[in-house]
Amino acid sequence: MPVPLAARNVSVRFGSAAAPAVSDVTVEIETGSATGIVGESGSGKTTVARVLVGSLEPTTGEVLVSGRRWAEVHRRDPVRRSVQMVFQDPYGALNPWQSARRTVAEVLLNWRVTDRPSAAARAAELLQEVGLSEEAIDRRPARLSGGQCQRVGIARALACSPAILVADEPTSSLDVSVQGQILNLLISLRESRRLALVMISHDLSVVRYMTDVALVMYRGHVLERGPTSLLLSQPSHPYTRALIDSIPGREQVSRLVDNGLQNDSGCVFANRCAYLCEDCLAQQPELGLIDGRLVACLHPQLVLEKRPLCSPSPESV
Amino acid sequence: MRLPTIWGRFRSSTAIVVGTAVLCAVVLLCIVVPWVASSSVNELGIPLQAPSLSHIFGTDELGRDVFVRTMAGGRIDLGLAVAGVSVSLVLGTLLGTLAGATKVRSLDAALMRLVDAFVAFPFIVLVLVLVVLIGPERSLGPLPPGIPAVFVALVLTDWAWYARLAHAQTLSLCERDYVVAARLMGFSGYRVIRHHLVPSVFRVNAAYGVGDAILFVIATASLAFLGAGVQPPVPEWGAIMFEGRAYLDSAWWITLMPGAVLAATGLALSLVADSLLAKSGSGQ
Amino acid sequence: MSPSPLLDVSGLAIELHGRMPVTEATFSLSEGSCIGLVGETGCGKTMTCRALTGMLSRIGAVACAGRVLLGDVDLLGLSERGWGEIRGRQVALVPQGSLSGLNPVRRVGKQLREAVATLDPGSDARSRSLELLTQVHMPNPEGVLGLYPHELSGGMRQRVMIALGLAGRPKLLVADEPTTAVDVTVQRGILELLQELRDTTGMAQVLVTHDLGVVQSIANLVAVMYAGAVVESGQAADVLTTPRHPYTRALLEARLMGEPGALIVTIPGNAPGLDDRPSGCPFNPRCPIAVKKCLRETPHLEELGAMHLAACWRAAEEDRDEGRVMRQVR
Repeated sequence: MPVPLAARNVSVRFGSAAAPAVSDVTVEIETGSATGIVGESGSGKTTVARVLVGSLEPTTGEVLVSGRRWAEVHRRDPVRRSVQMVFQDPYGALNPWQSARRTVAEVLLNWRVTDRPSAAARAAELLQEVGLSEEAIDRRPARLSGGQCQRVGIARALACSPAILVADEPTSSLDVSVQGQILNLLISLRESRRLALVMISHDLSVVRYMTDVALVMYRGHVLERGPTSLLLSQPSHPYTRALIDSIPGREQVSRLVDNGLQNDSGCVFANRCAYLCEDCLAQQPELGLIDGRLVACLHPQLVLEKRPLCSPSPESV
Repeated sequence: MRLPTIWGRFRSSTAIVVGTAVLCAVVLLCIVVPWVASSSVNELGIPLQAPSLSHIFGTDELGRDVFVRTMAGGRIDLGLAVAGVSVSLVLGTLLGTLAGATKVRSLDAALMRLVDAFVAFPFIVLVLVLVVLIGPERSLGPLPPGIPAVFVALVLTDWAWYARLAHAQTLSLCERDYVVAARLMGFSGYRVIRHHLVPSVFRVNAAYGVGDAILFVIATASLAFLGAGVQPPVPEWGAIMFEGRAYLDSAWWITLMPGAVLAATGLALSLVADSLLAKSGSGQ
Repeated sequence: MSPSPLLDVSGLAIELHGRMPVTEATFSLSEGSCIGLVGETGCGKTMTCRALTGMLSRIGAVACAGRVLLGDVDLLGLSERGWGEIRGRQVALVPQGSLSGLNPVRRVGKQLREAVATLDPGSDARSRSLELLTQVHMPNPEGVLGLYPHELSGGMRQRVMIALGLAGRPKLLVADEPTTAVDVTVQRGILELLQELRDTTGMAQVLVTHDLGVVQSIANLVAVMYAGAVVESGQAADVLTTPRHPYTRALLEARLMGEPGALIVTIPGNAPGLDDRPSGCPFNPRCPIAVKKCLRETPHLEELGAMHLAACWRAAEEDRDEGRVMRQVR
């Protein structure tokens, strides 16, 4: 039985850009799993999300949904419904000219989930299930708050009855007091509908909460991949370590540095790595298994053993 | 579009209030005056009388009341503008959106090359050529000679600009999350275009359309002034101005009065268009 | 705290087109201190910043009550001309360092030189620009002068924004969300820079942020804003460990610090917009301990001891559910 959704050795290069946005990334989403993809700007995590949902064609590699490539899946194929996305910008993700009810009803009608007369009522039910108050159901996005818009986006995705939900930074644009509401919603929906969740975030605490498996990305490459709790308690890649240490309030064990390297050969992280060694400049390390997780580093034990930094380094930018 | 909402938005800017007021006044006069004084349009009287209480804009070289003729002429100019802009707008927007949204790259390319061909010509030159080709003396039913040719020429020239605008907007809208989502939901191309692309594109284009109306009015008047548009004795702003140019030093009102109305209408349209554009661009 | 504060904001209320983005802002700041102005969407913190930097009139807003004193200068009463002396020189604003904060078609060096020429005319523009870039720890300052904003990383752009703010050697720096537009691994560097600037120049800072972690890192004072009013203020260490206002408590608990799998603590509902502020205490619809009085009367800031102020009718109660953690399901 094929994995519901898998990206294998996917690389994406935009136009004639010098460096690929995503480089040789493999992600497998099992039924009912919760996977996190962590990275900062430029890490390629959003591109991976787009590739996973079939919105973007990879330059090389393949994305298989129920064993088939996205290009072979027609828009009316039930498989198209099985993977849906929740977007970062709550307002940009909704049609500004449609009310919440209409947005959801449109999806229900498209997939013939209900017939025309009952679509409006069923849409209202779904919207209430995601916690949208009654008076908001017939409002357009401009009259809704960010949190409410995000709920509408989730309801819309749910209207397809998906098996996998890819959430691209769903709470980054929301107020702190509302973030928890949306995350709780995603957690409870995951349980009630047995959804697999792919959580894209730059925020490690969100990934820690929501996911069982995590991938850490940097400039298009996966640097570490494994069980979330393991990665966050015992990181083996200097970048993962640096991400963890950036959580405010934590003592900083390591930091990103600027090694002033000019060319791009060798490890993609070489220029910012405080543990840089000679052999790191030769080639991008492959993902290797160490201590229950995969890491793309030639010297992961330096981080695992929490060795102090080799020398004082200039401040990162 | 519901009226109360439009009015609410209108009120927030004096420019748009002034513009709309002037526009309404002109339109009202153009509808009412020729209807009430229908006989005076071509009635001959004492020629070259200066503006007075009985003839507000004076009389022309044949003694016809310039005011009544100007307002009658306004029907043609404004009528052509409204009809012409509407048709160009709809045609151009649909084709441009289709070109931008289609996955068939060759269709996109073909349509846009066609657009480029039309857009490459200076507007008035293309209109002129088309009018001449179609035949300025043709009439169609109740429409006076010259009008069908001018109408068709204007629409054939103008649609391309809307198509180009629509195409550019569509390309950028297709990157917006909600359009990406629509495709993820398995919506058909038709549905994406009709419900998710056209509403936004159309609103912006319609705002440009109001400004375009000025262009149509001026183009119609210019064509008549060049002798290639509406033919005498049909009254029309440009035609009246054309007829009066021999008398500029003695009976300046024949040319200047319609010109002033033309300018005022153009200015009013411009004020309204600017405000609408500012408001439609936000997409809310 | 020194006897007279550098910045004293009391009872500030701001009106914009018939609505009140700020209803009551009160806080003060002495030299060398940093106050974190914390709040979410619609709390009025950005508008308060505008009042501090004299940018109210250009958006049609007006301070209709209260007082803002910088030293002994009444900022609210300043004319545009008066602001010419103050803005940039005494008070400087550092907006978010996103791409829209800098002129995209001008090189960084040119923008810096312009700022220096206006605010520090006596000095040599180029050398002062280099000095400013060095002060913000920009690597390769010479090279950066010749770059365009889009060629810089987010962190570098934020440093350039800070350098621009420092051009006039201000006594007060107002930084609007200095870490929001910047990657997580770079945030710490920016915050350390701000701390260092305080230590070396003695400037005071107002740090506007929605992130309590930022406040914890470098601010020594904090003012929490909700729906246009400061609802709690005091020493950061004090307020963040023993918050007396339910909103502050909720914000602290909403941070994802608990165990994975447990329900995340949230505050139900949404922050009110400008038009639908409830009567009485603005937080009452979402407050877990609201009582009848909270719906009728708006609380004002009351001193609870050691500079800790809170605007809550129940702030002073000893035995309210201190031990009980607020949990909300959705």
